[in-house]
Amino acid sequence: MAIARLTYGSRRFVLGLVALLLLLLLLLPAQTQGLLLQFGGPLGQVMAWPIQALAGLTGSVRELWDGYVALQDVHEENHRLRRETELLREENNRLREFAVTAERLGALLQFKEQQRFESVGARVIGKDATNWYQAILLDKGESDGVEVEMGVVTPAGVVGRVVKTTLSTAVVLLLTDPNNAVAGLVQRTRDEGIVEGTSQRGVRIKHIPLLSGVREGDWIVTSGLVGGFPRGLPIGTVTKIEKEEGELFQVAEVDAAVNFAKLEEVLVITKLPGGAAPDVFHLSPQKASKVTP
Amino acid sequence: MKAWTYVALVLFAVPLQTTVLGSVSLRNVEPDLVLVAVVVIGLLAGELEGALMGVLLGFVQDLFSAGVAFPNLITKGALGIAAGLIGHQVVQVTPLVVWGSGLVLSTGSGLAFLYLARGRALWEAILAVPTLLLPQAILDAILAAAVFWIMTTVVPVLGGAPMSVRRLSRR
Repeated sequence: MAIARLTYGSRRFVLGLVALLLLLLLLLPAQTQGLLLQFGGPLGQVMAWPIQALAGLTGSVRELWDGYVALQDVHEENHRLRRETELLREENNRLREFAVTAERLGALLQFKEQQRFESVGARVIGKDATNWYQAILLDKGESDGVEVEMGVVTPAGVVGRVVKTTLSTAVVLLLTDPNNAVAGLVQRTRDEGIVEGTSQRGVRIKHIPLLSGVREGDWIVTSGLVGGFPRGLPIGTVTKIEKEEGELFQVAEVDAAVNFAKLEEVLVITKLPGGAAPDVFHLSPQKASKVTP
Repeated sequence: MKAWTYVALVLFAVPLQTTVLGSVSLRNVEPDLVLVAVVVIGLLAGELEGALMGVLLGFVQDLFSAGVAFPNLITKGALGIAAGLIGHQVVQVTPLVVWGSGLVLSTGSGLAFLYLARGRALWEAILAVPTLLLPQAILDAILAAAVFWIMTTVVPVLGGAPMSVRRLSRR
């Protein structure tokens, strides 16, 4: 390898350059970030192929594994069954999986058709490349019209917002990440607040006025004031209210409407409706259940 | 062989981290494959290769992570240098040395990451130490020791004997 053939002095020189680069990144993050993102475009495009290939492979292996575990309970019975029956069961399982997928995609399509915003459907192909962020990876990127700051939803409710894109992938910061903040609204009392993630992978709404009559079970929806979401999309229900003495605002814990552990397909909101009336969206939070799309 | 190993690492370490490891996490904590690779490369091949691979792998990791300002590029690059320097200081790099180095470097890298990237409240950062940082450091250290053992005994792709041993044998 070329590095091995370098002289001691050259090695020191290259190492010094690397150390200088790291120092520059540390001291001038804003200036160097644009340059690095320029390099990152083509590299991200190349890296998207193995990610999508491995995501497909992982899905197939998971299906096989699930099938194996499910069949363990009826192992003895299977010995008595004829081969034709096994084939039929396998086919039945496959068809059932198709039916569930079709149902899920149908719900997503129906939701998409009901909304006034423009959106693009995307498949979840992975999670954040570190343990430090609650984020997912989508198989749609800049070439599909996905941009940073766009909102991501499912028929159940708000998922998060796009924070990074390549040509064919997008990173979505989930609502449960402490770095995420979405403008929210207590649907019954119309009090506004900021919805953010917690360290325990939960969701809470803060800055609710002290005199607000918010109570457990109230639905929190998007306020549509800022961010990539229109008004009225369900976020979750209030489970606990913290009202501390001397504080100007209340904080409430929220049970998110979306099951973030089982996300498979989502919609990225690419264009918000211009001047839409409040709560014009057809999906009523009361009807939304904690399900995946 | 070594060059191909590095190419394979660049192409597959981050994709494996984002897809496969998500399915096998222990209480939502997974080992950081990039960190493990950089520590092992730094210890076996020296600080220059450790730093270069750290910068490259960290850069790719940042492309598919929600963090801004490329914190992985910085921490993994520095980690490669640190691992290489540790490799120079020990007489022989053994799996135990790799385990200890992995534990210390992963903890240090995690603390630096918390400082560089999170921008969150102090108490939340402190909370992340026992719930995320330390479990990950332990997993990273175990995996690094296992990978080192495999690479030096079963498949010596980075040149077989650790650098310190090679250096000693030249004397």
